[in-house]
Order: sequence, then structure tokens, then C-alpha cells
Amino acid sequence: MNVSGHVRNMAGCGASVEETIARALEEAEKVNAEIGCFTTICGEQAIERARELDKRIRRGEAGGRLLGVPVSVKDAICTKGVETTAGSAMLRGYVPPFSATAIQRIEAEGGIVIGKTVQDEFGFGGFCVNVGKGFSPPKNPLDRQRVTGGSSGGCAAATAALSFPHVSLAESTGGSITSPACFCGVAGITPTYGRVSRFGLIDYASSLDKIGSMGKTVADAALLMEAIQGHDPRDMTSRPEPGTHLAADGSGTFRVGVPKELFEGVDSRISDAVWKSIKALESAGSTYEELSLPMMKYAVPAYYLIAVSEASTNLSKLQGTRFGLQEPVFGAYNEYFSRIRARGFGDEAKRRIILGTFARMAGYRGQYYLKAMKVRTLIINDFKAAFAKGFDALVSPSMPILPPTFEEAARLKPVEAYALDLCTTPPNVAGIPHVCVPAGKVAGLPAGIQVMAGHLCERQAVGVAAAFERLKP
Amino acid sequence: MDVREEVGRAARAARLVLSPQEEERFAVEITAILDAFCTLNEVNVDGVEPSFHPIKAKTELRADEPRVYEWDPFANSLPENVLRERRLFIGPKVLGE
Repeated sequence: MNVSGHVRNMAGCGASVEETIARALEEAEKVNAEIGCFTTICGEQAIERARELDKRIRRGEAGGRLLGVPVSVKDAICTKGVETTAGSAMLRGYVPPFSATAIQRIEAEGGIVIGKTVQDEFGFGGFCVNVGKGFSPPKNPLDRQRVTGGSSGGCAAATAALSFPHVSLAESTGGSITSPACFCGVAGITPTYGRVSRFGLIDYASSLDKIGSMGKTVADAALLMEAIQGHDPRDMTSRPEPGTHLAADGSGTFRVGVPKELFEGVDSRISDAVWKSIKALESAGSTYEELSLPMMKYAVPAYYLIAVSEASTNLSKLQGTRFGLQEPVFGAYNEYFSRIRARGFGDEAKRRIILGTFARMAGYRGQYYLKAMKVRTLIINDFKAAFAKGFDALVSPSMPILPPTFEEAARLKPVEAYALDLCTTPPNVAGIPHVCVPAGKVAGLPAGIQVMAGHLCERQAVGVAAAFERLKP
Repeated sequence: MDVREEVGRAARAARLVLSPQEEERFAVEITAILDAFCTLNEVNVDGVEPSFHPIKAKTELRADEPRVYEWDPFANSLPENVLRERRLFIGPKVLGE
């Protein structure tokens, strides 16, 4: 059953929310024991909330687009009363006294948070293997020898593995929704930068972070996106435009562009699968045109330089005095900060903090940080020029490789791992909405299509993605 | 540029203690990363404005009106490692003796 069918059942058929959530929690525990996708399963809070909803339903007061829907949440998103660590030992024990705006909106629509999901530490990874000290990487439910993709790996693994209607609140900075959605064979929506409030998100890179959604289908993910989008005065970068209805029925015909640069360096079997989907769309009445976006090849370095620069400043607030990890203070404060940060941060976090600090240091700032910001302007201009030609969406592979095994991922050097973000960094650097939808299987493993639209055009991206999903090659 | 020296300098600025092995390893890895990122040098950015945000937006500020917050930091739950005395927070010197 899809999520909207589940909501109709909850609202109109006298089903007990408490019983539904209890069954969901039982399965979540079982799945977690097998693939390790949750950091916390908040059973007590979920049951308490389900009971409240049952009472309100009996009184005829409850409603909402997510009524009685179990929701899992990336651990970087603050949940009142539930430990929120962003996957880092540095934040172990941090229990926020408030919930993020996205969580508040989910709860206002009747959704129930059942747990927090595993992620790369602060979002620093594309495979969900750069988890913080004391955490374990989740296993891909489609093949447990393989990674889930990251950084929202726990969200995608839970979405793929749980059999009950469920959606997941994820987050992307440079591809952290598309990568795991692709590797786990589910749908993921990354909205326009600012479309969903970042209030209550533990920041990685403030000009790139976007809270988004995942579901087994595009329609499920779209339902969650509709619930969380819209202006929030508590986030200064929140867009003022009202949210939009996301038609995800897969109907309609479209004009899509296919940027050749986003197929360079992609496993040919994945390219073939994506082309098969494009041809199927054409057969159903849509048209496509190949085009060149020459700036795309610079998206990986531009993204990393911007992201690590912002991350190194954002993480400076974590020094063992206010949030999470603490120990008795001795010596000077600077020594305490340096000691506890060295103890709490994992390897990739340290690497990115050092790289980001370096890129912003006097003498290098213009060469690295400012240069990357200017290249970002050119990447945005490339996309704008393409959409000005009248395309509803641009289409590319989601990931250039099939999900690697844990051993294969461990053998990659950092620079090699970064290079694999070649398809996901362009739309993230430009802040345009994009949707990942499965493109069938290659050698028994999932391939994905990435559908990108212009700023604030989530409706087009979701519409085209749903059409691909409906045509299933 | 001596990357190992720069890595040490950045780590100190970022308040991170690195072991000599970490410093060596990060220097090798960061050299490889910066070499790969040199492709940005191919791009002519003369006259291009930086995009500090991906989408132009007017920064929205709340009304500049004074508000009274009733909050006593001394009555609140503060971390255990913060010492309090005579309504003062007491900590060690930042830069040491």
C-alpha cells in the first residue's frame, strides 16, 4: 500500500494508529538488527504520539496529509527529546530542546517520527561508511555486502527495507539524497535551496544544505515534500514563495534535455539503462534533445571547496562546552578545545576541517574559496541557459557506478571518492531541485536517473520523474 | 608550498591536535585533492561575481523591536564542566599562563 492509501485508511476506516505504529516499530527493530539503519528507534515517544492521534481521531479532530504515517529522520535533523548526533561522537548525548521546522510540520500533518537514521558524520561522505566514532555503517538491504550510499544512507536503507507505508526525512549538501536513493533503489527529492526550512538542521555547509524526502515511490516522497515545504521566518534563507502541489501521477508529456557531460565517466551499463528510460519516455510522446553544459566538469572541485570551507566554520562551534561530548576542563581552554575536537571528530571530518580552514586562510582564499564561488556562478548560468531553451527538465544518471562493496569503498582514496560525485554535485552547487528515480537493474543492482529542473520548479522535476517511474523499462 | 607545514598550521588554527602520523597522512591526501582541484585554473572567471548563495534572495530580518527574555542562565541546566560562583562563570584562561 502506498502512503496516501495508508493515510486514507487511518482517516476513514477506524484503523488504530497505536496498533499500526506498534507493528511498524516491531518491524523497524527487526530490520535494524539486520542492516543497522537506525541510530535511535524512539518507540516510547512514537507510541505516546499515536495514542494522542487516536484520541483526536475519535473526537473527529485529527487529519493531515501524513496522518498515522511512520517517518524516519536523518540524525542531523533536530528532534525534541530524542538524541540528535548528526552521526558524530562529538554530539553524543545531545538531546535538543526543540524540533526542526520540518519535524514540526510533519507532526502537524499527523506524521509520527519512529527513529533517527545512520549517516556519514555531519554528511561527509557519499557511501555512508564515514560514520562517526562508535557508529556502524548501514548495510544495503538489496545486497548486504554493499554500501547504502550516503550520506543519508540510513534513510534510504530504511525506506527500501521496511515493508509498511513509510517515508523518510533526508538531507542533501552535494548528493546525499540522490546517492543513497540510487544505491537502495528508492525515490528521493532534493528541493530548491531554501524551499524547505533549515531551522533545526545541524549544518554542514550553509549555502548548500537542503532538507528533502525519500519514499518507495516518487508519489510517497512528494507527499512528504508537500508537507514540509514553504516559508519559515526562522530561516533567513527560506524562500518566500508558497509551496507547490507536486503532481506525481506520471501523466503528461515533456521536453527533456540530456547534458552529455553528465554521462562522461559513467559506467556504460548505467548510461545504457538511463538511455533506455529516455527512449521509453520518447515512445510515450515526450521529446528529448542532447546538449552541452561545459561547466559541469568543474562542479566537483567547486563543490568541495565551498562545502569544506563552510563546514570548517560551522563545526567550530563544537568544542566540548555547549553540545554533546564533554570532559573535565584542565589546562587552557585552547588546549581543551583542541584535545576534545581531536577525540570527537572522525577522520573525514578532520580532513574536511583542515582542508576548509586551509582554503580560507590568508594567501589561499582567492585561489580556492573565492574561485570556487565564481565557478559556481558559471555553473548556475549554464543551467539557466539550458532551462531558457524551454526544457521541462534535464536528465542524467544519478551515480556513475553501481553500489560498491564495503571492501571496494574502503580501497578508494579520498580524492577518488570525491570524483564519484560528478553527477550529483552540479544540481547541488546550483541549488536546483532534482529527483532520483530508479532506472531498473544492472547486474542485479539498482541504477538511477537524476531529473533536474529550474529553481523552484519542483513540480516539473517530480512530474518527469514520476513519468519515468510509470514507464519502468 | 610545504603542504605538511600548511596542514599543521591549518590544524592548529582549527583547534585540532594531530599525531605526526595523521599530519603526514593528511598532507599526502590533501596534496592529491588540491592537485585534482587545480582544474579550476582552466576557468576564466574575470568579471564573474561570486555566488555566496545559489539563488538570489532578499535577506529577511525580523522587526527591530526590543524584547524581554525571562531567562536566568544560572538557573538553567548548564554543562557540568562550567563552574559557577557569585553569578559568574569561571573558566581557565584561553591562551594559558
